[in-house]
Amino acid sequence: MLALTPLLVPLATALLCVLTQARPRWQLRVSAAGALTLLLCALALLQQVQHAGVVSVVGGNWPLPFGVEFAADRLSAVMVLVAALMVNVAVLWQWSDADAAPSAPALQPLLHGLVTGAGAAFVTADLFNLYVWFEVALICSLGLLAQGGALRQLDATLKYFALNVFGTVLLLAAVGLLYAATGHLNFSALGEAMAKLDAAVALPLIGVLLLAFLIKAAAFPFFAWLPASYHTLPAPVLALFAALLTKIGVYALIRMLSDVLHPAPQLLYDALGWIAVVSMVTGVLGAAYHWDMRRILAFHSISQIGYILLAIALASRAGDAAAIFFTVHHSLVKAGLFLVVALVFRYTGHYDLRCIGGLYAARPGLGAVFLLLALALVGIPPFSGFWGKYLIVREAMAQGEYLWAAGALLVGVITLYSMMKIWLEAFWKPHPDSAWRPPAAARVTAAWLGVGALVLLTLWMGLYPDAMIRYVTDASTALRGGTP
Amino acid sequence: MARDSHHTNAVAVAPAALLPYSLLPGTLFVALAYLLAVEPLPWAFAGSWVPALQVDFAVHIDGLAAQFLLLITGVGTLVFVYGAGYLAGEAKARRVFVLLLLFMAAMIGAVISDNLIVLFVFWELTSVLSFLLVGYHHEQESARKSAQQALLITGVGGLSLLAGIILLGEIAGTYSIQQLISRVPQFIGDTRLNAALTLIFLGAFTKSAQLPFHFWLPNAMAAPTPVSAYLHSATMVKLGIYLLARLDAAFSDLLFWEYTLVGVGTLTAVVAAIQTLREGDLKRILAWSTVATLGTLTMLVGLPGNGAALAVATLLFAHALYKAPLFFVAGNLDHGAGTRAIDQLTGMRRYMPWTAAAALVAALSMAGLPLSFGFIAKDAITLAKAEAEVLHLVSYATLFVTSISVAVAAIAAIHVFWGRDTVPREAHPHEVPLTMLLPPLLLVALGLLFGIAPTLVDPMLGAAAHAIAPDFDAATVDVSYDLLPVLEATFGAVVFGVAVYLGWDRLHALLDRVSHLDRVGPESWYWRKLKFLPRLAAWQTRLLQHGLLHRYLFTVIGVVTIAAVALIYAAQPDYHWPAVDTLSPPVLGAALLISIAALTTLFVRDHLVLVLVSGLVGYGSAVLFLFTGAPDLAFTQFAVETVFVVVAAAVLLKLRRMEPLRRVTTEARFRPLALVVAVVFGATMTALVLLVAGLPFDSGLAEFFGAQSLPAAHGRNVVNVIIVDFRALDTLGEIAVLAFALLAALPLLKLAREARG
Repeated sequence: MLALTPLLVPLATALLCVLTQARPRWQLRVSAAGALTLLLCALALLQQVQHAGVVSVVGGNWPLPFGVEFAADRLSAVMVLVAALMVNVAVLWQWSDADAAPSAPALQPLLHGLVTGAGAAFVTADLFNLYVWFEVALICSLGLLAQGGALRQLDATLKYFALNVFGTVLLLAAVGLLYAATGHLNFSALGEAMAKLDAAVALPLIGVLLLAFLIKAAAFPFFAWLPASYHTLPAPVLALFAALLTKIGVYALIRMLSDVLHPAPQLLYDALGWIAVVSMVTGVLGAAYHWDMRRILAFHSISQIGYILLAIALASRAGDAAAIFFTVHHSLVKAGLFLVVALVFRYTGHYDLRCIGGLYAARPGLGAVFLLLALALVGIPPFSGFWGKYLIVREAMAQGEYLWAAGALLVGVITLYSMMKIWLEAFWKPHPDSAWRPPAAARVTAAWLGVGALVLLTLWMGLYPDAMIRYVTDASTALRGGTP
Repeated sequence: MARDSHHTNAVAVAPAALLPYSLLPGTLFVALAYLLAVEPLPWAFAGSWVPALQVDFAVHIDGLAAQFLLLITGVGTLVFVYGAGYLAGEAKARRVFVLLLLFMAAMIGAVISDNLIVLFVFWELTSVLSFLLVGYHHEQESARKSAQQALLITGVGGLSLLAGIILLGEIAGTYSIQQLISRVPQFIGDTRLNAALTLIFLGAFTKSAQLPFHFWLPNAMAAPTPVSAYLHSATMVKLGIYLLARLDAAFSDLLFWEYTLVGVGTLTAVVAAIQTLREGDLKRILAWSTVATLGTLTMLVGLPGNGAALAVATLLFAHALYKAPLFFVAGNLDHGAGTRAIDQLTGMRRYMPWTAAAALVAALSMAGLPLSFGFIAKDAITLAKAEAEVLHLVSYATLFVTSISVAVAAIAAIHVFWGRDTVPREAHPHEVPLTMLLPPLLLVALGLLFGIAPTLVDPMLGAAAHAIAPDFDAATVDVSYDLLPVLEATFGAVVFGVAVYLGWDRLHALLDRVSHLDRVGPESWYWRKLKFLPRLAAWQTRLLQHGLLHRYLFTVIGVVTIAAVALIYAAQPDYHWPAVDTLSPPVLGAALLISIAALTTLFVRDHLVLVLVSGLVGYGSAVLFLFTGAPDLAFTQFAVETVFVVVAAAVLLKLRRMEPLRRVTTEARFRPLALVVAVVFGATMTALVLLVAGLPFDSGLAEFFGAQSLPAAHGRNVVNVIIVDFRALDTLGEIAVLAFALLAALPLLKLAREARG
């Protein structure tokens, strides 16, 4: 049953939130209780997979490969845990007044709906079922985007919708093609059947499937939906998006390339590597261009997705471990940064760097937290991003992929430049209006609790990385069928 | 110096409140000195950190590390004492002290780590802390730019160093420096070694301000004086030298190692010496002379031989003993006279006698005159060069650099403090408090003591030299008084130096006239790149993020199409024409209906007609289901489509004011391209469908569902059983999709209602 909780708990929470929508305060409490339950379940699941390796359940107890299987391994469990953690932070945030979402009756159900899609996608072991959860995540994210109802939000929603629906339809087509070629949808049955399939047929079919996931992961040149929409979201929703949306695509890529369809044709790994490098470069240049902090961070996501894809493209145990480590790191750090800039917004009233300043003197604590997360994102030791980058670069060099390693390192410099831009403009530069003072009455305790949790986790991953590195190494060993 | 009182929640602090900070480095220094006296080196401890990556916190303290530790804690103590006076009354003083303590910890970590990765961790931390300290006056744009420059340059170097360390680790199979040194013979022939060393050089050169990265260091003088004295003269900038000296034991036999270090070090020293003459600010003059010393140190690390190792240790020590006091002097002048511009400062000894005394003794050492410790260092360098038989060119360069040092020493000690009193009275020149006098006086007194009795420090320097060159026999250390060549060199340098001092103003003016050469220098290259980056970013972002949806779609679908075509082309699969027994006339008719209806939607403008036509697509699929063995599904589909059309039409009729759709604003030149992409995409997907349709189908699932539907699931209708039982989880998801879609649409419906009302 535990394997089904990432689906059932948020779905039930969403339902209860719909039922209580007439009483917003109760709805928020129900939402928080549901989020907390999911966190506990995710922790239990993590404990269980470390003990048993895989926790699985088949819908209706049908024999495999006929029923729909849910199977959580180490990779699934850690992804579910991140999702659970982030939904807690997002819900908690709504008790503050720092760019919190305007209360709308559909907000809480849709938040949990998004987590339903993500959580179920992380544990399902069936290709068509995976598609269904992509659809759930898509429709809920669309709903969350449209909640604001302002013109620019609807414009963002339209772009998000058009580009993502293409990806979803392409995914459906790929699932159909793979089913037609093998007669299977269950992951292990599909993997066995694909291994027997003529390589010349398998290559284009797997390729189309990967293209669909790349659109979902916002890789170059498919990323347009991400920077077109992220900056229109309120902070808690944005943090959840940053931690989950692209990560579902990334998760699916890891699952397919390293587990279900492993080993995929080498050509696909090589192509993925170059897509990754170009994503890293274009993403970080986009970040260097912008002045709106949310847009800067959104573009960084594309760049950081590039790092993860590069790790996957290395097609090795160490590469996968690096990819999983980096995914977890990026979810925590990027969500944390989006939340920190929301606090900046609370104190200054702007997201635009040209309109703000003087925060290092006025709010040194906020400065310290931003600095920490920014250094983690850039990959300065001893923060979490360093270990992620180190694992990737070391594996790239060990495989002789020096150009990829050089790309990853040089992009780090521009990342440093663009994060420094936020620091120089928002924190060090005097505020353009010399009469500006931070507002005294800000309701930010809940916001700080959320940010604090993310910062502590990032610090833990940076200062004591051993446990996490062991975990992701075990996870990647298990993906390839080894016993950790 | 701008004394700011930028609005802040910190309050001004008294010197007495800041002094206790110096207890920490002071205690460490005393404890270290005591341990060094009683415990023989090297000390080693093993600690674990990330065993999963073989990154262990292994500590190895030999003579070189011990010398650095003494410098870090010793100079650190005095910097903290000095800072208590210098920063008293500053609102942000506590912040500086906390950062300085963190910095000290990072420096200590860097020099005691035996693991290269751990060393790198601390190395990067010092860069970040330096950034925060250089940006102390962050209200000023120049300080922000200098801080940014320092971090970008050292950041690039840091990444290069990381790459070098990883590559070296791959080559040597270890990150432990001691193991690396012992394993050198096994991998010295590896073809990747020069690449790894080049990357490490880039790291060390950026950190230690070597050509062509030297320019960040003088700009970092935007920091408060205690910070400059500590980070940018005594400790952090020597970390690059430290790393090179550390690895010298492994690689000193490589010609590549020797030539690069001697070449870059000498060039850096010469260029920095010339730059010194162009400055008018005492602190920047000192900064350039620090760069020159760092160049000399790099050159000495590169020189082969045991004498060079001793020279490195001696010069490191001498530099700390005279340069830190001179920085303190510059800070005192700032405090006492309100300026550091040398053309405004003469005859200051009348007002600041103790500062003048410190400056004079420090200058003697800097000029390398006998009885000062600087003389001992010069002696060691002369002997090292004699032993290594360096090129004449390098000898002349060293002579030139030493002469400029003499001139700088004269500027700092004589020009500023002796001569006519030109200080304007309104500046109220005055001597500084005791906290700011004791540190420089103590350091110059030590310099004098060790200059007269160098045997006192012989054990320390010998141990350091032994760590750099393992052949060095610590027992024979005795700084030689082979007077003749040393006196010759000193004499030459003094004569030339005095000439430079006397002609300072003229040289200064002369160099000003050739300042247009700067435009081709590395610093202007840096600024050009810094301006270029936003332009490149803007160009790229406008190209990729234009905000036009139809182009986004064109890109996405276009690239997917190209990729799919390329994959089919690369794979060259064999096509088998699919069995056509299912292609009955009704199926073909349904396919035709679907195609025509789908194409028609492109040309319809009226909403109502659009809804009807899209309903036809659904009916077409229903017909298809009907004749491919799924009548239940077909009837469901008929019902759904009918409901959809009726409801949608009803809604549309209700919203009477809807205008016909405008033609989608696709640019005219775009349409033919879009057509090509659409057709090729469709053709590619068809090709893929035909490809898999030609394969034999594994119907195991269908057979199981058909066989088990009634006996196991108690349902006669196989399709229904699949939906509600065999694959109920899919259905649950699809129901969720519908429900969430309804929730998602709520705000839009509300908007529509508001628009009408």
